[in-house]
Amino acid sequence: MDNNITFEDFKKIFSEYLGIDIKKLNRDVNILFELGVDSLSLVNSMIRLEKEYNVRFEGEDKIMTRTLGEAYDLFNKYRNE
Amino acid sequence: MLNLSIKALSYYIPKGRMTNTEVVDKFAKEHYQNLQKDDLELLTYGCKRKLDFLEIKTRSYCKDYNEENSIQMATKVAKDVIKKANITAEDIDLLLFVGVCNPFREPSYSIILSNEIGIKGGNYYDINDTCNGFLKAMELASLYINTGKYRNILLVTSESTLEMIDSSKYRGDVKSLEEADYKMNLLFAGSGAAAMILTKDVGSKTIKYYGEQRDNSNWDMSLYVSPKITMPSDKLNVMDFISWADGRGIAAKIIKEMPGFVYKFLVEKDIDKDSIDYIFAHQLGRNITNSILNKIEVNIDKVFPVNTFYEYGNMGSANIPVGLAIAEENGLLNKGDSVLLLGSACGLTYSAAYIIW
Repeated sequence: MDNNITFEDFKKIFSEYLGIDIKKLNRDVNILFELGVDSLSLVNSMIRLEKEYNVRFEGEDKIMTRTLGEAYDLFNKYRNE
Repeated sequence: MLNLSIKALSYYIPKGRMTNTEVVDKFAKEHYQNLQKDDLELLTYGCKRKLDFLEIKTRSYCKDYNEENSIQMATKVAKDVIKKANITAEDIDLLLFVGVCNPFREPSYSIILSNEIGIKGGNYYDINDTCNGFLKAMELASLYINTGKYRNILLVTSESTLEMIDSSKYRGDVKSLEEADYKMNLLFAGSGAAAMILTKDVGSKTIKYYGEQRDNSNWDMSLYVSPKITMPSDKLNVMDFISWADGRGIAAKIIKEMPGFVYKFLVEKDIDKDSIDYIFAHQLGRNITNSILNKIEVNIDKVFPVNTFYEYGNMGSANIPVGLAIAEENGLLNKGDSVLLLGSACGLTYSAAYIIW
């Protein structure tokens, strides 16, 4: 079974979690560096994503400083493991 | 201009290392027991993951307070730095203790410490500028040295947060998941001590400039106070926990406001940001540091080669001097290297110091 979600859905998740206008989200955006989101809000979003979608990012992923596209690719990788 | 030189540096990190799991479990056992089972599981899971995401692996702590405690760490770094400077305790004109985790109200910490290290004459007192204490003390030292009042000034900090908590019988509680976020800042706290001897500038390890920006309107964003003290704040009428912090709010303010302060400092001091070799921000985690560097358009290659946060946690006012001392010990700084130190502290205060090594 394909556990992938679309990038559009992934953007909606973060838009909802962080209250960001979805138009600002694309593959190349870095949420932490470019959208003024503080690190703890982003951390809370990552924890919620992990819990709701049953994935777990590894330390070496350095997920906090990835672009949204990179985070999406890692997310699908772990969803399909 | 501060016109100071760092004559000697020393540091000490206690032997204990507590993992994220161990510190969260400790706090869960001591403070989270009022929560419902499901909430407790969610909170402990969330705290552990939070710490993982913020790239902290362990924090240092004193395992046995009989062998390693705040005063012993302070005494050790003070004696070490005096020896490294090739002077004696009698040559110290002024000792300033600057630690946040200061368990002594009377007498002051510096009075005890000066006795421990054998200062007979001289002057000694404490200052409290929270995590900015060490950088602020540099500015204070320059006032004394540049007026000719003192020649050798010894700055000491010793941070042993868990020792302060363990010494108190007070056990506040986390009553709900909503308030848990505001009572988890101590999960980052690490322990360590550092000392520095400052003299007038001799053309080496020169502290050239210091600058700061303060805003007291959000003084209640981070609190570490006597339990049950009455607070003049709309948010907390009676503090029911020894510490409380709006971590998200603080991180957001730092990321938003600090770049502007840094720009202003660089312009005022006529420092070209591209010529700076290293930038060392008070250790609140790489994410905040990298965010700030990104905003001031500085390549993250300039991040200081020592990261104390990952292994030792947030050591308060000891973060920066410990990092400098480790870099010096490992030969990571060459003569002529320029280092921009960035401090941030509850209150809120942003500060910067510029050193030519």
